[in-house]
Amino acid sequence: MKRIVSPVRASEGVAVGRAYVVRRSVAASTAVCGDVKSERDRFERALETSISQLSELAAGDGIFAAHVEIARDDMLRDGVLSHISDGMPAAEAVKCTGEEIAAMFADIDDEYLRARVDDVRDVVSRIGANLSGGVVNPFEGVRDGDVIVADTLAPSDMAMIDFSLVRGFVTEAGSATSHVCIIARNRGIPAVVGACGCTSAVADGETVAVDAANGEVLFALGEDDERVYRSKADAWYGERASDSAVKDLHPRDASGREIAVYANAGSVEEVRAAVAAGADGIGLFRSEFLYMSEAEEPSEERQYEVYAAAACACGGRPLTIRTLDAGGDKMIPYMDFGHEDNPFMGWRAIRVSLSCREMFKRQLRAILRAGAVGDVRVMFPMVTDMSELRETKSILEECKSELSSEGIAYDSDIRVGVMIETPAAVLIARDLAAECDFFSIGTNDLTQYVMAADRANARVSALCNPMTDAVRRAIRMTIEAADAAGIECGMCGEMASDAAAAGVLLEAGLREFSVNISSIGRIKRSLCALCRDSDRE
Amino acid sequence: MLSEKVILTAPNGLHARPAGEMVAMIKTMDGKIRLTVGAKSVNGASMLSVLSLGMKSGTEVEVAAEGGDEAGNLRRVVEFIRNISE
Repeated sequence: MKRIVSPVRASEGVAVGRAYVVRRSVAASTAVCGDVKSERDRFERALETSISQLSELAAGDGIFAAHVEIARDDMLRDGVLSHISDGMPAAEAVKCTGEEIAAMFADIDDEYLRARVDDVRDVVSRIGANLSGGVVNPFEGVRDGDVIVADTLAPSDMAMIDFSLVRGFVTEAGSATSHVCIIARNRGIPAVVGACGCTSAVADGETVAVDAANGEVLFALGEDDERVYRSKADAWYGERASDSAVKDLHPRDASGREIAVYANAGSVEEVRAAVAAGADGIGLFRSEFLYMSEAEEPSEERQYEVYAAAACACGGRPLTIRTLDAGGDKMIPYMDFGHEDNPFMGWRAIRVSLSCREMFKRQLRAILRAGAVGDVRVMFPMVTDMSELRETKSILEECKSELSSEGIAYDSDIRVGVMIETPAAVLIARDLAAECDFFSIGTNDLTQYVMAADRANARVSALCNPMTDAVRRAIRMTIEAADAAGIECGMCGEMASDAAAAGVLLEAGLREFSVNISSIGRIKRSLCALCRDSDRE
Repeated sequence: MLSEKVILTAPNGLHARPAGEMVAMIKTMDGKIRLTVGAKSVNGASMLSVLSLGMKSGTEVEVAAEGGDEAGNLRRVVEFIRNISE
């Protein structure tokens, strides 16, 4: 048995599988070089193609929005055009410019920022591929159970890989902050990065073991070695499988009422991941990413596409879309928030939406239309006064009647919810409950406002704890108000993802938990165990 | 021309995502923005230049706005840098 050890810890787990060693096809360097004008035109076309490919990818993963900016940078374009004018073929000019730009990053004395040169290389190699007849997918031959072994796995590579087939990742280059590590951790795929020499040492098709926690890649396995690692991998997969059986876990309280475990998501991709991880629906779909990842406000059509895709991905399960929660610590690049001494008490969330009425209407129309596709609900952040809820609902009605008169399909009975995240909302919860269909408690903001403690300030952050008496009482008051009015009450803050708090919340009467994707299994199992215990009593 | 110094407090420094958002915002402005770190000064509308500054957590950057709504543009960029939290 041979092994390569990496100093980097990329993810967890053990996997054994068939090595799929990625061979990059190098573009034919014998390509005929045209005259300066035709090479320039070829480059411009390849650049345009690359930008439109990256813009499409940006809908699934925000990193590609940054790649679009790299591709659009005049420094790249001017560099390439100047080499072409000097008589260089376009492909070589692109490569050369890429290396010149990469050299600018060499002096950066921070490992994480220096690693962004990988983003530059990824964009440059895409332009190069588009020059030589298009981006080739080197992962087409990947079969179920394979371990991918590659020189490097750039964001563009990851966008081509079907993760449901992959058992593990091994790369020569990369650090713990590489894109591949982030994906491996999010999806629970064992990975080793920084395994120098792996692509030449490991034979394509041989059986390899990946021990991610120890940063080891093992190959040329003897029978005994393989048995040992297979049993380790089985144990790891067993644990994961109990997670994938999470769909079939249905915690119920003493009265037999089912307790829902929803997930929080910020993109269509995350909605899919949440459903695959066993979520009963999406309790919080953050619409900010749509606004933050683009250079301008997303159009109604663009928003509709995303919301409808998310509703489809939910497959009939509820999808609760929170309207734009801008301000506070979430800035939208093209909106002017002005100077605020106290942004968390300033112009944010529903306050922004109500003062940008036309923008708000575009979002509401898109959400209403997505309601025709699935079980979509709309939720408003930071409501502190009845007048805000009433005004919001009247704008919603205005959107409905516009859509009706335009003959566009929408959900006329869309359920309307309010986030309870300020002391004001808790105090008027009974009034709010009379005029909306559900509540969702946002514990992060609620805790900081109730306790008047900034979680970013180390000297007071101990006070910023949702388990304090005041916050627990606020949560209880909210649930009681919802119960009295016969509306649902969920929770989408960090507290809902904390297994240690599940007992307290259950006892307070909470029956809907909306949690981080990685916590779905843990919270469902905790709730099942808690319910069993209370049955026995 | 108006300028102001600001310290980046984002734990991961100015990495690809927030840099992309900031550059996209600067491109929509009617004036020019220059960012200066130490002896290096770059055009704020160029993603590659901005990334090449290697702004890590704690870096002091001078933002200079020239042309158009200088005060407004300066304020937006300074606020953006100040508020990067990821």
